[in-house]
Amino acid sequence: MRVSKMNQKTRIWCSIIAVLAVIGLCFYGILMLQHQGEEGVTDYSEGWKVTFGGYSYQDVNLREFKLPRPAHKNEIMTLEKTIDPHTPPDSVVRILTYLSKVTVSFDGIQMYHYGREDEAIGRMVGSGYHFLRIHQFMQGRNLKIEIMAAEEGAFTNIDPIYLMPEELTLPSYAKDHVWGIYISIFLFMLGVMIMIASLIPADDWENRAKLSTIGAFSLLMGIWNMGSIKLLQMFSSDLATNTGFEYLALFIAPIPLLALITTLHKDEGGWQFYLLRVMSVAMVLFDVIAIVLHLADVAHFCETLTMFHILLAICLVVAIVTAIVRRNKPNRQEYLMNIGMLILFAFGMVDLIRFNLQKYLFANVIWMSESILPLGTLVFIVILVIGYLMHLNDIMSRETEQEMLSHLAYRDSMTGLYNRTSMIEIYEKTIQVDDEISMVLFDVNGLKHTNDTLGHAFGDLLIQCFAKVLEEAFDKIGACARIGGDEFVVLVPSEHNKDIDRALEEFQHLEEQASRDAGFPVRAAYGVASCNEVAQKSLDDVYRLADMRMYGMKQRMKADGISYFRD
Amino acid sequence: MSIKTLVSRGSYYVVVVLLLILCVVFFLDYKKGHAAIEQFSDGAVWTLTMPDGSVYENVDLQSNSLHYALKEGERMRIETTLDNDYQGELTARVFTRQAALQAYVNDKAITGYDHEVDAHAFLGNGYQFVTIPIVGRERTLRFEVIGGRGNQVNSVPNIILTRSREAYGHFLSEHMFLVYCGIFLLVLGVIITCIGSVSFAIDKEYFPLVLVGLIGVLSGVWSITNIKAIELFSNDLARNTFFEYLALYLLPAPILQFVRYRYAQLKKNTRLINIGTVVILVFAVVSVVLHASGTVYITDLLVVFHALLFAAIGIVLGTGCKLIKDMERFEYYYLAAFGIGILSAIVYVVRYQMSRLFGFGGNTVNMSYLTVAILAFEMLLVFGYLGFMRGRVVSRVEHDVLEQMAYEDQMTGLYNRAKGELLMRQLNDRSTGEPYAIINFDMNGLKRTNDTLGHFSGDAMLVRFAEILTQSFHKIGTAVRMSGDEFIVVVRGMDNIQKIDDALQDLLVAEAEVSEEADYTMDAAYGIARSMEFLEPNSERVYRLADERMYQMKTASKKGRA
Repeated sequence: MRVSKMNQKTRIWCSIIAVLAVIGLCFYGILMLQHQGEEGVTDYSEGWKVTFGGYSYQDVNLREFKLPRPAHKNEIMTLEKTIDPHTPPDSVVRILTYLSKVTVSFDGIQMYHYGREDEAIGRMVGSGYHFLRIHQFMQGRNLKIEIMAAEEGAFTNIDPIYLMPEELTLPSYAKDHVWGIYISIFLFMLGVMIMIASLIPADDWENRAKLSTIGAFSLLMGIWNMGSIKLLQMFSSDLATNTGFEYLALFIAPIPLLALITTLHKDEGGWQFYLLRVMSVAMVLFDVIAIVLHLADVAHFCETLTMFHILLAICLVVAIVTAIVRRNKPNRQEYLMNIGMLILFAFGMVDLIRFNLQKYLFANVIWMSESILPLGTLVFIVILVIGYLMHLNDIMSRETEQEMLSHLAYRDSMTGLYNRTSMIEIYEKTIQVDDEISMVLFDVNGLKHTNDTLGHAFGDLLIQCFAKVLEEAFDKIGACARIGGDEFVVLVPSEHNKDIDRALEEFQHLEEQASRDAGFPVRAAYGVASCNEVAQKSLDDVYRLADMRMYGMKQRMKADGISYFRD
Repeated sequence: MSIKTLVSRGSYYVVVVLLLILCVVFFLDYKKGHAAIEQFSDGAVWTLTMPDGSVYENVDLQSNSLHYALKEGERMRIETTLDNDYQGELTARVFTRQAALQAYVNDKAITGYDHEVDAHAFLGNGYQFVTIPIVGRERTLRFEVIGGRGNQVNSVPNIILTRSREAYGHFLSEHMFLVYCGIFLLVLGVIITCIGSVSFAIDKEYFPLVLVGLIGVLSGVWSITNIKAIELFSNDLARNTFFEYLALYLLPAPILQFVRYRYAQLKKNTRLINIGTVVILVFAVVSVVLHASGTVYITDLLVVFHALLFAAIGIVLGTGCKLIKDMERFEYYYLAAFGIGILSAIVYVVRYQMSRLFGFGGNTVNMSYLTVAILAFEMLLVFGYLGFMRGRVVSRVEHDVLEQMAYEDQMTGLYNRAKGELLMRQLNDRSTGEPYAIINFDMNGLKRTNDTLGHFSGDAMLVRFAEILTQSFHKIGTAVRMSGDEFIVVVRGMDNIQKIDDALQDLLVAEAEVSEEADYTMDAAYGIARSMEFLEPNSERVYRLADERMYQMKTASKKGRA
C-alpha cells in the first residue's frame, strides 16, 4: 500500500503500531537487564552495629536507620558487622557515601581507604560508590567501615548496602539506573548537538540564541544527572572531580532557562522583564562567586548549596509570577513551556511520593527504586524543542504571508513593477511631501496586433520584455508602474527631474537592443508631463497631459513608418 | 548594528563556544583518566601456540601481524608470566570472536565452566572479563581460545590486564565518546519515531520523519552492541551479537525508503529502490530464520550483506542526483549526509574484507569512525528534513495567500465576483432554512466622474465607496464588488436582516459627508430583496429581484434629476 495513498484512519493505526513497537523494544531491553542483575545480588543492610555521636545502635537495618541529627564536619559514623563464614569468596560489598572519607578495616587491618589525599590538600571530598572485596580469609571476621563527614551535614543516614559477586558489580549498578544512564547521556549529547546546530547561520541570530539556551540547559541537566547517579564513576574513579562536575552543572543550569524565559517576555517589557533580568544577573554572579570559592578551596560547592537552593526557589517564584501576571496572552511557545514546567513539577511531586513510599513501605520493590526525575526532565526538554520549532513555524508563516501580501498588493504580477493602485498612492504621497513630481507615460506599440497574430503568450512576452527595458532605464530615477494592459508610467521626483532626458536616451537605446535580441519590435510612444503644468497638480490632469503628448508622438511615429503595426 | 546588538550577539557566540569547549574538556578529562590507568603485561611478553603446533614467542598482543582463523573445536593457547612487581588482583579483558575462553593461573582453572564448551553453539563476539586472583607468588597465565562455528576474521585476541577495580572503568572510558554517541542515537531514534508517528497520523507528509527515527533506533542499537557498551547491561554475548548483526542488516531498509520518498517527490523512477528494500528485508528475515534454526549463523552472512550494501549504494547513485547548483539549501544537507554515509560504508566494507583476506592485526573495535559517521549522517538528515519542512511551510502559506487573493478585489479590498458567486451557492446549499437578504448597489455617476475628472478620480470614488459600505455593513453582512460599479451585500439571519435599515441610514449619512468633501457626488442606487419573499427561495432569484429594485431606484432618481 503506497504511503501517499493511505487515508487517515490507516495512518493512525500504523502510527499506534509503530509507537507501541518502539516502546515495546525499549521495555524489552530494560526487562532484559532487570532480569539479569537480579540473581546473586543480596541486600546486606541488616545486622549492622552503628556507632555515632557517642551512642551505639545494635542490629540495625540500614534501610530503616536514620541518624538523630545530620553529621557535623569530621564526625565519624562507624558500621560494624561480622562477615558470615558462608559468604562466597570474591564477593563485593557496595556502599554509597556522600562527601565523606572512608576507611575500611578487618580486625584492625586496614584494607581500603578513600578521601585522605583530597582532604590533605583541601580539595572537596567526593561522593560515590565504594567496592570492597571480601576475600576468603575475611570470612567470619569483623568488618569495620568508618565514614567521616568531610563537610558539615554530609549525611543523615546511609544508603542500603549490597553484596554481590564481582562480575555483577557493573550490571547491578546499570540495572539500578537504567533510565538515568540512558536519559542523562542523551540529554548531554542532545545539548551538544543543539548548540552546534544553533551555530549554523540558517536563521537570524536571536532565534538561534533561543535555541542554544535550550541546548545549554539540556547539556547541563545531562551532566548533573550523570553526576547524581554516579555514572561518571564508571569512567573515572576521581570522585572529587565527578562530584565537582555534578555541582557545577547544577549551579549553571538555571541560567539558560532564565535567559529563555526572559526573551519570551522581552517584547512585553514591563516589570516582569526587568525582574527576570535581575534574577538572571543574580544567578550569574552567584555562580561566579561559588566557582571561585570552590576552586580556591575556601568554600566548596556543597557548602554553597543551601544558598543556591534559596536563590533557585526565588527564581521559581519569579518564573511562576511572571507566567501568571501577564499583560497579553502567552504565545504558543510560552504556552508549551508552561505546560512543560507543569509536567516537570508533576514528575517532581510523583517522584517525592515514590521516594517516600519506597523508603518507608516498599523498600524491596525494584522498579520503584529509581528516580523518575530524569524522565521528567527529558519530557520537559523535548517539549521545549517542539515549542521552539512551532515558534519558528509561526514566525516564518507570518513573515511569508506579510511579504506576499505586500508584494501582491502593490505589484503587477506579470512584470513585477508597481501596479495601478500603488502608482496612485505614490503620486499622492510624493505630492504631499515634495509638492512636485513628473510623469512619463508609455504606451507599448502593437500589443493587440501581437496578441492577434502570434498569440497571447507572445503578447505577454512583449510586455515583460518592455518592462525590463523600462526598469533598466528608469529604475534609478523614478518609480516604474504598469497601470494598464500596455500602459506604463514612470513617476519621477523633483531631484531627478534633470535626469529624465538622459534616461529617455538610454531607454531608446535599450529598446533597439531588446528588439534585436527578441526578434520582434519592442517600442513605445511616450509623453512627459510635470505636475507644475496643471492646475491643482491633480493626477488626472497630469495624466491627461502626458497622454496627449504620448499620442502626439505615436502619430509622428506612424508617419515616419517607425511603428510597424496599426494600433 | 548598534553597540547593544553587537554586545549581545558577541556574548551569545562566546557563551556557546565556551560551553562546547567545556564539553571537549569533559571528554578529554576522562580520556586522560583512561590513559592514566596502568596496564600490565602490555608489551611483547606473550607466547602463542597455534593449533597446528607453531609457536610464536615475544608477541605483543596489541600490535602484531599474526593472523589465524580458528576452526570449530581448534584451540589456541596464549601464555605469559606476570611481573612480580604487582601482587594484587588483576582483571583480564579478552575479546573473543565466535570463541570460548578458558583461563588458568598456575595451571589452575579460574574460569568457571560448569559444562563442556559447546563449540557448536552460537558464541557471539565480545569482551570477557576474567579475574586473576592473588596467589601470593609468581603467576603464570594461560588462556585457551576454543574456536566456535563459523567463519572467523582473526582469532588472535587482544588481552588487556588492569587492576580489578579499574577494569570496567578502563573499558568504558576507552570508548566513552562512542558509547555516548550510540546511546544518543538510540534514544533520539525512539523519540523521533514516536513524534514522527504521531505527526504522520495527522499529516502524511511527516512520513520521512518516522523513517529518520527508525534509522536512529537501528543505528543506535548497532552502535551500542558494536562498541560492546551493551555489556554494561548484558553479558550474554550471543544475544548481544545477534542484535548487533540484525540491526545492521535492517539498517539499509529505512535509508532506502527515505531516498525513495525524496525521489518520488522529484518524480523519478522508484521501482528499483522498492525492490532493493524488499530484498534487504527478506534477507534480514532469512538470516534470522537460518540463525535460529542453527543452520547458518547470522555472523556468517556478513559477506552477503556487504554485497547487498554495495548493490544498494549502486542503486542510489545510479538514480542520480540533481546538479549542485540546482539544489535548494536543505538538499545540501542530504547531499552531505549521503556523501558521508556512502563513503563510510565503502571504506568499512573494503577494510573489513581486506583484513579478512590479508589478516591485519588483532585490533578489534577500530571501526569506531563508523559510529561517528552514522551520527553525522543522522543529524544531517534531521537538519535537511527540517529545512525541507520549512520550505513546505512557506509553500503552504504562499498557497493560502494566493487562494485568499483569488477572492479579493485588488482595488477595493472587498471580495470579488468569484467569492460573491461562491457565497450565493452556499446560500442555496444551506439546509438550515435560515433567512437571508441581498442588497444590490450601483454607483451613480461613475461614468460621469471618469469623463469629467478622469479615471483615477473615478477609482478613488470606488475605493471610498467600498470603505463606507464596509463601515456601515460589516457587523451584519458581507460586502462584495461584483463588477465595475456594482456592489452587493449578503445578509444572513433574521437578527441581521432587521438591522438593514439602520445600516442603510449610516451609509446615506456617510455618502453625504463624502460628497461634501470631494469633488464628486457620491450616490448609490440600491435594491433589497429577502429570501422570505419567495416560497422556494433561490439566491439567484433573490439577487435578480434586488437588481430589479435597484434599477427602479436608479431610473427614479434619474428622472428626478432632469
